[in-house]
Amino acid sequence: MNSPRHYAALLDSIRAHAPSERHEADLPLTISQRRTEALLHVVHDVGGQPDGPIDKTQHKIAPWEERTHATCECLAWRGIWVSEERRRRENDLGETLYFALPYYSRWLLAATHMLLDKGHITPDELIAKMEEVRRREESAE
Amino acid sequence: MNRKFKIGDKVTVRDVPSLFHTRTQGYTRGHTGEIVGLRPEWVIPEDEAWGRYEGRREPFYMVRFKQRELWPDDGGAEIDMLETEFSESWLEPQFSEVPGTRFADARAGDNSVSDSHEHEDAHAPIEEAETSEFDILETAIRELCISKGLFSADDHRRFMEWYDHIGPMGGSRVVARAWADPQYKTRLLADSIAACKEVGVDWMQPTGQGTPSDFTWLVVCENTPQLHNVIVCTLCSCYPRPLLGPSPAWYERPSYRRRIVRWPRQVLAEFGLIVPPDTEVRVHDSNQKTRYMVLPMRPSGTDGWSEKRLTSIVTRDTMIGVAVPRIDWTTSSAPPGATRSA
Repeated sequence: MNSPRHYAALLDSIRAHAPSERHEADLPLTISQRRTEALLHVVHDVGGQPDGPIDKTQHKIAPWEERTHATCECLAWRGIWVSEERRRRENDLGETLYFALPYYSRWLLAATHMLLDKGHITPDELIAKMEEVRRREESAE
Repeated sequence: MNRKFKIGDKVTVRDVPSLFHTRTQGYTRGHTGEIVGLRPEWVIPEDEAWGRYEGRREPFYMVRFKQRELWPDDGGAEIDMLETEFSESWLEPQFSEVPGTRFADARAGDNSVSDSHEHEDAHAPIEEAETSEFDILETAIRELCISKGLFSADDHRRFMEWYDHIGPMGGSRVVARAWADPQYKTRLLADSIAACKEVGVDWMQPTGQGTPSDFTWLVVCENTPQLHNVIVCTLCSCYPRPLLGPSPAWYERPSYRRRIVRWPRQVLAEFGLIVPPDTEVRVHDSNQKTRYMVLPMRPSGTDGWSEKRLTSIVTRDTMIGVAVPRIDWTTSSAPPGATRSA
């Protein structure tokens, strides 16, 4: 079934619906086999999909991005998760967020959801903390 | 049961950031209605949804809104209403001021970054990003983790200091030494991690056992006249970070990940590298624990160069395999009109 030709055709289908912003998907009650395969394809597995020219725009890594990297690594160093769980959780963000968000915000959201899922923090705590940080940064400006 | 509100009270639905699962609809936030029904104490859905099945119990209320209050610009009839339920913590006594404006302001900033695809020249622009929401989330997460003892502030500081020490110059030293010393090259190809340490790149840092994402299994791929190597990670952006520092943005973006495994010669041509037809192009897709670095060929015209001078032409891209070293193309200057990605 997964002949190279079949897979190449599947890749075209995946690209036709990713990111989902481009294609209105409106809860159909029936769906073709080809489209099912394309939609259930694991998001990060992009090798071989057609795409445009390489965008060589440089990105100067922001302090929050570097700190996010360090936070994710510290969480793994201290046994709260491993890097593969982070990658799985990036996939779990879904196609639209995976491709539309800046690279390190995927890491950050994966870490946030993990901390909530495992009960290390509660949504209330996080919302309160974000408000505290927001107030602090506003008053520092 | 202690209730804060009674039938007939005017209440406003709290307008707090909605990053997470809740049953409180966005269209009700910040709006004022009247309590028209009392419900028992139930476990709030915001706890149930995250696995706290025996979580906080709160009294629930049925609240009636005027359609015109919810949707003021849609011409609804004055007598039309909408009713829906809330747990107590979502409600507060009616606001006297216009509610919700503060959060609306905070959300107004557009976090999108440039998605232009037309930059390919030698002076590729630097992406400007407004990321204040991520900034705030990052600070909140880090401070919560530290306050709960998941890791220490010192752990975090050690990682941040480590970043200051990694970069492509580590790889440049490895390549220059391999060019200058054949015995070193033999050791490098046999035990890459140990050979890196000889020139001061320690894959065990900063934890003593390496980093969680980079692992400690390195394969150095030697280019020859018959073989050109290039590295990618189609599934994320695995990269020999301890040796080359953070990966370039194009390495993380999907187009490179998608195309290099299927159309490698075309992609290399976009980087200005035409591989001769009788040279094999070998793509290394780092999908598991192994990390790869390309050992490029030493260009002619470098006889008698010192090891230090040799490092100057070993750019990051030559160690990824999307470029080859040129004597007129150094880590600090490119020839006029050259296509270059930094």
